[in-house]
Amino acid sequence: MKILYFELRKEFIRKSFFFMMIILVIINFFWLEWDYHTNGGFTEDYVKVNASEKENKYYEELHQYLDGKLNAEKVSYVSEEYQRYHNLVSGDYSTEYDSSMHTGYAFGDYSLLTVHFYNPIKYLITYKELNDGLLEKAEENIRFFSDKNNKYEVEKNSFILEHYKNRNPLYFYETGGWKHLLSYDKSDLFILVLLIVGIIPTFSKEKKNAMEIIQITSAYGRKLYIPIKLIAHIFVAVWLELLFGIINYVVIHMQYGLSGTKMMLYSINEYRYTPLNISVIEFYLLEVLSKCIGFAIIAVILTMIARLIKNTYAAFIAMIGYTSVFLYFSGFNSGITFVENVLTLISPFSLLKLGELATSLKEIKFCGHFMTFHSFLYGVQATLIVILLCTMLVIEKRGK
Amino acid sequence: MIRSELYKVFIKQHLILFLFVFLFLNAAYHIVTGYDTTTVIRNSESYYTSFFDKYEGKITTEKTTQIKEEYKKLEKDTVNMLSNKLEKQAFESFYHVYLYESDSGSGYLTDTRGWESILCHDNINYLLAVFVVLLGVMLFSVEYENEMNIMIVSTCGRNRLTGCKIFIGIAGAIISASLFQIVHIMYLVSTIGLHHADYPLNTIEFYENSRYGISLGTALLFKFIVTILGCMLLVSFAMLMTVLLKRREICMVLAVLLVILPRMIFSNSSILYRIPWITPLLSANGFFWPDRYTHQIIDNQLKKVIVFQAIETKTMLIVLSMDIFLIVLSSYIVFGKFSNHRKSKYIKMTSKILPCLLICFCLTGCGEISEDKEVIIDGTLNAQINMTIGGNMYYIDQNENLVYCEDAKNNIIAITRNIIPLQQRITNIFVDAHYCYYLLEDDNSSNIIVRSVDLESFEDKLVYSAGSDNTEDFYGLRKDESNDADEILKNIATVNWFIVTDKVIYYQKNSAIYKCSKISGKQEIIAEAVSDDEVQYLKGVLHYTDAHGKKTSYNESAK
Repeated sequence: MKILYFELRKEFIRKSFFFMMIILVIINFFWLEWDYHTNGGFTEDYVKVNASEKENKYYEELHQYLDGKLNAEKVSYVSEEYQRYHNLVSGDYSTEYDSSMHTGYAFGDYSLLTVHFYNPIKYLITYKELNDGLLEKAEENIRFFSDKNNKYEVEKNSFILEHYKNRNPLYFYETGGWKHLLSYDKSDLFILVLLIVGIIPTFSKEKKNAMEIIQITSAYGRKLYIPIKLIAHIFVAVWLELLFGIINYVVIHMQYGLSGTKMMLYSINEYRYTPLNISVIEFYLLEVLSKCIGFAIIAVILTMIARLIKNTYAAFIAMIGYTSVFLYFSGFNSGITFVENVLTLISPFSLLKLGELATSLKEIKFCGHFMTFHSFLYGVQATLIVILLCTMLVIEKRGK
Repeated sequence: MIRSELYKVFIKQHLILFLFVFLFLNAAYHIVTGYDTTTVIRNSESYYTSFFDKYEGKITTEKTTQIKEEYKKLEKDTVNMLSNKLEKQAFESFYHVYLYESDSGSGYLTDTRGWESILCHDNINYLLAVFVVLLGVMLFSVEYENEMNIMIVSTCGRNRLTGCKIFIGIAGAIISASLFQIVHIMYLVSTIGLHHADYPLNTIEFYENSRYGISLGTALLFKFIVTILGCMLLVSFAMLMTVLLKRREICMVLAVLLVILPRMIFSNSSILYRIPWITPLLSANGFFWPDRYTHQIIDNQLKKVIVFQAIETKTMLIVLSMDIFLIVLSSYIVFGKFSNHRKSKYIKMTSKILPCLLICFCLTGCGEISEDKEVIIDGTLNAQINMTIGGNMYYIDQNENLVYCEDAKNNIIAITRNIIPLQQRITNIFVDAHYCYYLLEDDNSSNIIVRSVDLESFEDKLVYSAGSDNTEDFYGLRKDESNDADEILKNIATVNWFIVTDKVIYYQKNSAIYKCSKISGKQEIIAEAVSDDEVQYLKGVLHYTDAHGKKTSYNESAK
C-alpha cells in the first residue's frame, strides 16, 4: 500500500534511522562477542576462551564421540570413564601437571568429564523414568480429583498427562550455546530504542508543520490518519525483532556452533519441566514470534503516548517512564500472589520473557478452569489492546 | 541575550518544570532506597549509635581499656532478653569496626555508614543524566526544527548567540549536577550524618588498601567535581549531536545510550575507568577504589584473582585531562558548526569523523479457625511436622516434600498433589476441621508462603505470601546486592510454629512472634523474646510464654 510506504518513509526509511540501526546492530554484535570472551563457551568451571589448548582438545574429542543419539556403547564409555576418574580423585592423587592427563591434571579431567558429559548424559538417561513417575502421579490425581468433583485439578492433571507423555530425550549435544541464545535479551533494548526514536516525532512534527489538520480534514486521511501510523509502527517493530533474531542466531551459531537443532527443549536441564514438546529451534522461533507480538503491542502503546503527549521531551520522558515501570512489572513473572500475577499480566514486556516462563508449568485459575499462564497472558494483552484502541478512537472522535 | 536564551529553554520549553520533577523524584528515590546498613545494625540502631556517641574519635589507650571492659561486661551478661541480645549484636558490629580501625584502619572511630553510602558505590544517577541530555538537546534543537538557525546566525550575532548557548549548557550542567548531589548529601546528613569529614579515607573498611591518603571530605569533593565534569561532558556531547544530526529524538536517545551502554558492557570492570568517557565520570567513585579480589580455582589451586584493579594516579589524570579536552573540543565543534563558519573545513571534517570515532568507543489450615475453638500448639522447632486431628495423622514427608494423611485404618492419602516439585520446602503443617495448611520456606529468602488444601475437594489455594523478589535487571543496569551474613542466617532459620485464623496468620521465627494480615499482606512483630513453650489461641487471644517463663497474651481486638 502506498500510504503505508509513505508513512514509513516519514520516520523510518531515512538515513538517520538506518544510521542508528546499523550502529546498534554493531553494538549488539560487539556485546555478544564481549559476553563470549568474558563468560562464554563452557559454563561453570571452564570458560572456553580461557581454557588451555589441551582442555579444549579433550572437550572437542568427547563431543565428537558422544554427540548424537545415545547408545549403550556411549553410555557405558562415559560411565566407565567417570568411575575411573572418581576412584582416582577419591584417593590420593597428584595435583601436579601430568602430561598423560587430557587436561594436564587429574582433577581437571574428572571435573570436565563430570560437569559437561557425565551429568548431562545421566540427566538424559534418567529423564524418562522420572517423567513416567510424574505421569503416574497425574493419572492417580485425575482419578482422585474426579471423585472429589474438583474440575480445575482434573483439567490441570489432564493437561500434564497430555503434554508430558512420551518424553524420552536421547540426543546429546552441547547446550551452552542454546541456553545463551534462548536467554539473550540485550537486543530487546536496542529494538526499544529504535522504536522510541521513530515513534516520538510521529505526531508532534505533523502538528508543528500544520500537516495534521490537513490530513484529518481530508476525506481519505480522516479515516486512516491514526490506523496507518499504528500499522507502520507494528510493521517496524516486527521487522526489527526478526532482524535482531536472525543476527543473534547467526552470531551465537558462529561462536558456539549450535548443533542439535532437533534436540527437544526438555533435553536442557533448565527446561526439565517445560510443558512445551518442541525442539530447541522451534522454541527459538516461538520465542521470536512471541517477541514480535510483544513489540507490536509495545509499539501501539508508544504510538498512543506520542498521540496524547505532543511535546517531544515530555513524550520522551513518558516513554522511558512507561518502559521502566512495565519492565519492572514483568519482573514479577515468578510471583504467586494475585497482585504479582496481575502486574505480570498487564505488562506487554512479559511477552518478551517466554524463555523464563517456559521453564516450568505456570498456571492460572480462570472461572474455575485451568489455563496456562502464557495463553492467558496473550488473551489479557489482546483484550487490553482492544480496550486501549477503542478508548483512543472515542477520544479522537470527541476531539474532532 | 543570555536572558532570552534562558527564557527560551527553561520557560518556553518547560525545562524548569522537568528540573523540579526530576529533583523531586531524585529526593524520593534516595528516601526510598535509604542508606547503607546491615540487618543487625538496622535492628539495633539505637544501641549501635550509642556506642559511637561514647567512643567516637581517635583511639586512645583510655578508650581501648573502656571498650575492652564493655566487651567483658557484655560477654558475661547471660540474660536472654531480646534487648540484651540486640545490644550484644550492636556491640559486636561496633567492636568489628574498632578492631579494623586499631589494626589496619585510620585509628579513628566513627559511624561510616553515611560515607559508605556515598563513596562505596559506583551507581549513576540516571535522573540527572536524562535531565542533562534534555538540556543539551533543547538548547539547539528548536532553531533547527523551525529553521530559524539560518536567520539567527547572521553575521552580526552568531558568535555571541552560540557562545551564550554553550555557556548556558555548561553552566546548567554544573548547577544541575550540584543540585542533584546536594539533595543526596542533605538526605544523608539529615538521617545518618556525614561526621568527621577530616578523618582519613581508610576509616572506611572498603578503602583499607586505598593508595590515596586523602580525607573523607576530600574524597567527597573529588566525587562531586568529577560528577560535574561528567555532566559537562554529557551536555557537550548532547549539544554536539544536536548540531550534527539535527533530529532531537535521535539525539536524546543516542545521548542516553552513550551513558548506559558502557555501564552495561563493562559493568564492574576497571576498564570503564580507563576510557575517557561520560560513564566513568558520572560513576566517579571507581577512580579511587582500591584493588578488589575474589577467589577462584585455577589449575587445581585456589588462587586470589583481581576483579577490580585500582586506577593509578597517572591514568586517572590522563583520563580526566582527555575528558576536559573532549569537553573543549566538542564545544568548539558546536561553536563552529552552529555559527556556520565557512573556513572551518577542519571543523566540518572533525565534526563528522570524531563523533563516529567516539561512538565506536562504545565498546549491562482457608477455612478459618472459629474464634471459639481453642488451638494448642507445641512451640518447639519441628513440632508441626505432624498433627493428629479426629483420628487422622497428617505429616510431612521431608524426602518427597509432600504432606500425607494416614487415617485410623492406616490408609495413606497424599494431601499435597503437585506434580512439578516445589521450589520451597514444606516445614510446618496446621490442620483444622476443614483445611490442612502447609507452610513453605526458602533458604534464599526470609519470606514465608502459606497454602491450604480443602479436606473435602482437595483444592489447593494460596493463603498468604509476603511477595517474591522482582527478577528484572533492566538489561544489566540493576545489580542485586548480595545478602550480608545475618540476612543469610535469618533466611536459613526455620519457623517454629504457625496458626491460621480468620484474618491473620501467626508464626514464630527465632524468638519473635509475627502477625501477618491475610488481606493486606502486612507483617508485624507482636512479641519478642518468646520461649519455645506451648502456645494457645482462643477467642482472638494468643497465649504464649516469654523468655522469663512468664505467661503473656496478645489480644487481637485490643489493637
